[in-house]
Amino acid sequence: MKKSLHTLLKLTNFEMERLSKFLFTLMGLTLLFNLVGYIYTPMQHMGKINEYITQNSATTQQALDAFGRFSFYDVTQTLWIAGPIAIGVSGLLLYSIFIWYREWFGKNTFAYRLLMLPVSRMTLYFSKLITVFIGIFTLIATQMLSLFIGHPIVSAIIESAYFNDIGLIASIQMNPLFLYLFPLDFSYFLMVNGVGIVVLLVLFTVILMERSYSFKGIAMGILYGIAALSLVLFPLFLPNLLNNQYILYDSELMIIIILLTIIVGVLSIFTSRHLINKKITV
Amino acid sequence: MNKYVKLTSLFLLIALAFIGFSIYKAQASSPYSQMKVVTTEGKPEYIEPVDFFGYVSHSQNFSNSSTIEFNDGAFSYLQEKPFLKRMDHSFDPKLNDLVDNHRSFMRGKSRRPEQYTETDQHLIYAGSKTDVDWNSSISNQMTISVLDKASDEEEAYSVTIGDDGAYNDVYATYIDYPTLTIFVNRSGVSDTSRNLVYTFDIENPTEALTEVVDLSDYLDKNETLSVSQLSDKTERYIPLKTVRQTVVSDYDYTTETSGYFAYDVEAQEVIEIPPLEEETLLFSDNDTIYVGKPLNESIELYEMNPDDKEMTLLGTLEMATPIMGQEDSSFYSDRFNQSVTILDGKLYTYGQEYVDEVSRPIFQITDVHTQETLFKGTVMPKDMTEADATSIEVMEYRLDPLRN
Repeated sequence: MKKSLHTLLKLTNFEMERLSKFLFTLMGLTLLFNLVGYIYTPMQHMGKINEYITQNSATTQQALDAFGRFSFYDVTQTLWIAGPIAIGVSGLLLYSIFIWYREWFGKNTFAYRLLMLPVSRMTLYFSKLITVFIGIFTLIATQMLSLFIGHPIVSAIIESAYFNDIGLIASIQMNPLFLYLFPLDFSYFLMVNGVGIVVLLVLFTVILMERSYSFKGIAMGILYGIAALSLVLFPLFLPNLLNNQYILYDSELMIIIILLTIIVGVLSIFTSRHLINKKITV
Repeated sequence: MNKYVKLTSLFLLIALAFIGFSIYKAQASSPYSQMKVVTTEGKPEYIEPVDFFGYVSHSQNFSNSSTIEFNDGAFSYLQEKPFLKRMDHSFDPKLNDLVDNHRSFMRGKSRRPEQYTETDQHLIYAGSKTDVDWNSSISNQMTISVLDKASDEEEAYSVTIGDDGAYNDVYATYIDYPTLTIFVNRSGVSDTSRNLVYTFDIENPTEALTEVVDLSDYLDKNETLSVSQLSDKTERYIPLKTVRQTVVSDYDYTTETSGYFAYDVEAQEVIEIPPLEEETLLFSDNDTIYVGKPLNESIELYEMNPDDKEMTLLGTLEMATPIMGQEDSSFYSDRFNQSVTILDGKLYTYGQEYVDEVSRPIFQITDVHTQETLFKGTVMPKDMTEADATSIEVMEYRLDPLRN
């Protein structure tokens, strides 16, 4: 047990080394774009106010009536914040595919060496899964820290008369994007990440099917993906099938969906184990 | 150890950020304004039967809008409820109470509060298959379910309603135990729909509902029926009014009240109410019919004798503002008395007051016999610096007769 854990740690560390350059680039991009947003957005707002006051000889109150108060929430709404998040999500999603295919399409078929290692092949599988999740959580952590840095910057740039200090947490809570990323509502955060893990598990299974059966594997993978999605969404059709819209409460439907999602996750792990141990070819 | 430096650093970064964020979040004050009931006259305990859902918005920050619930004298925000609890939430306070207290009984039954009525001992539901299965074909079968609250036992009766293939829409139910009175709109058979009153004896169940009154007889061609919103659906008299619709254009029509009636559940007959000179308010409470004349900032309240229709002036009830006791046109057109009602000798009214672009509800509770104002007040943020920028709009309102 201890040995397999040590192997998992070594393989995860190995995968992290390979991800690190890409991850540090995404972290850098996040911080850079965010920083531009923290400085540019409030300065642009102050610029508009100053121009309005100068051109119309307006008072502070008139400027407030025209532009309203600026809050940190206004910055979190911009593309300077949402953009890097979108880049990070799509980047890591692509990396989840790349993390497998790089073993086959490198200069040497590195997959051969990896699969010949005297360790369980599932250790390799889990190391890749953990690596992707460390990547995801690292980007979330970077975004969190960035917001902590950004809040005082924005409040320093905007003159206090024009600033609506609703607080950092309120600004975050008001933005629906952060509801998915941050543990604002713990059960919701757990559910979103649970769905994320299962999506990755299904994706890994599809990739392993393709690696195992080539073109036939692509068709199998697509069918598996559709079947997994259908199984998870099946409870939504239960009220129609049972001829009663109120036979189950919405919370109960959600619990059934969560259970089926877990089943799909477990099924994907076992299917992947079978494929990686018995079917995969180099 | 040095070879794990990146992995360790990233773990530390994640742990630091998440722990820091959680601590900061725990220490930060709620982003939602804490509310309080402000009593300007009377005693605050009188507002306890009032339940409402409201929409809270901030004029300086429209994005931070939220849904507040006032229930049993306490405020809570929908956004702060647990995720799964939020999923079962309904904007109707009565339905929420029914689902919370009788979850098993409510399973598989319609989510329209007008299909439920209750006493201290029983909760009764009346509905058809089409209420819960929108794809099912129309039938003349209806289900009446009775829950004994003490034993938690449910008794269900399948009964027929009419002998044609009409669509039956239950739009009001009342109980004078064991007699259940059901108001049904029947449509789809002829060009016009019919408003019928049926009864069902819960203690001596029959296979068919008994038709007692055809309210369509009291309606002209362009008139529709509106039923009073009653907090306690065990009253003897059910106030009704007919509303005449006049088409103004292809897209618009005007409405005016053309007649007032009260349905006597015991005698099973309709009593015509002579309208007052101007606008008329019509209420019922226990065994009494009240007729009100809204004046500028007061309501002149009469008690009507149903036998000779003699009106006895009870007194003039001073209202906080002219809006109190007036109907809001944005409400459901088939119901009235949604913001003003009499329950156990007390007149409950609420209205929205607009001051400097800020909207706030005003509640008033007045004793109909002594005309004493028992409660007058509003709801506003505890933090007075937020008060000038925080609007609270009541979306759904009801009185809980069991808390009166």
